[in-house]
Amino acid sequence: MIPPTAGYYAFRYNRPAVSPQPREPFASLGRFSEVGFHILVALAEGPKHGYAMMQDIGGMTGARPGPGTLYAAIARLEQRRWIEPVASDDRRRPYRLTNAGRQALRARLEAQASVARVARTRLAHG
Amino acid sequence: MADANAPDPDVPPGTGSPAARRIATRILRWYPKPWRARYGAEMRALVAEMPVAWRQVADLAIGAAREWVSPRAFGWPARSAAGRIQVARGFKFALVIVAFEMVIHATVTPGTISGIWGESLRSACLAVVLATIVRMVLGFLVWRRAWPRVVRPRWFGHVRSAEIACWFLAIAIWIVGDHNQPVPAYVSMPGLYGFAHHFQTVVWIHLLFQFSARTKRLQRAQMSHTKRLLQSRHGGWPTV
Repeated sequence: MIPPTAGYYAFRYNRPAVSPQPREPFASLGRFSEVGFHILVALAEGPKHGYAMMQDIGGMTGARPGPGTLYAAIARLEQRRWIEPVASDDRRRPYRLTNAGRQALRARLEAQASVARVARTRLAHG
Repeated sequence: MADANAPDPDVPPGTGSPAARRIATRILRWYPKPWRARYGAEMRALVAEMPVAWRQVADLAIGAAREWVSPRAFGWPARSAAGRIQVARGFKFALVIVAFEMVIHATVTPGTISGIWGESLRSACLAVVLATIVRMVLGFLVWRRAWPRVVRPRWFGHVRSAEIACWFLAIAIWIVGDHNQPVPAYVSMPGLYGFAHHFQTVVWIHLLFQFSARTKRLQRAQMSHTKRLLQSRHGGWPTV
């Protein structure tokens, strides 16, 4: 039995997506791109649970993200399969970086490095 | 690595405001159920371990509200992505309308609550009726190819023809029948009453259209849902 809406959607909307994917992978995280980036940096060292991530980010940036912001970013990173939970008996579940997350982090770091290089050159000559 | 997972000696656990910690733990229950099923235990452990101040409480409250209106991660309660987008929009629409009505009534018609919400309901009914009728009529005309495709400048492109027609109808209704109505006694700024009432209806119409528009994102979500449905039930697209 074909659902009555199938034909409508099939013929009305059967066309390729017009909006291309954003070039910068972190752009899709929206307001969580900064926290997401910091989480990936924290996990680059090894698996960590939420509080350890929070402390690490606090040490790196001087400001700890709140628990709501941290877990919102974790959920979005996990949805993109950039991080994954590690099996643990503890209530505090650790997370680790996946290969996709490592690639995204590397791409972001390279982009930042090139911007920093240009900025340094301009400051030196300006 | 073991050092990184150890608690911070500089911030001993249990510091912060006990009241803030109690309220933060309570706020965790405000998150949507699927979210709590997935992250609830971890977040409870985090809140029990970290020093909780009022800033963290506000962060959690904002986070809970965000997850209710966000279809991205754990939008509730629909099963498909398209449904989640629509549910999240419904929540957003309700929030925006309530905020808007509060601003309008706080400035123009502060007075009795029943009078205020009666006025709002009247605007809402007019907006819904107009939007429905005009959409049906214009939909029929477009289907019959009797309505020309109107090219609008890019900055105005998101406003649909049906919405513009609704605006004109609302203005016509206001000019014909509404402006002679006596201003209720509870209105504090009678000079602005007519304008505010009309403005309210126009905003209702605009928000109705904006929040019910079939955006590209919604189209893609509907499309992929239909594809999955057809794949699971019929093994592919129907042949017509």
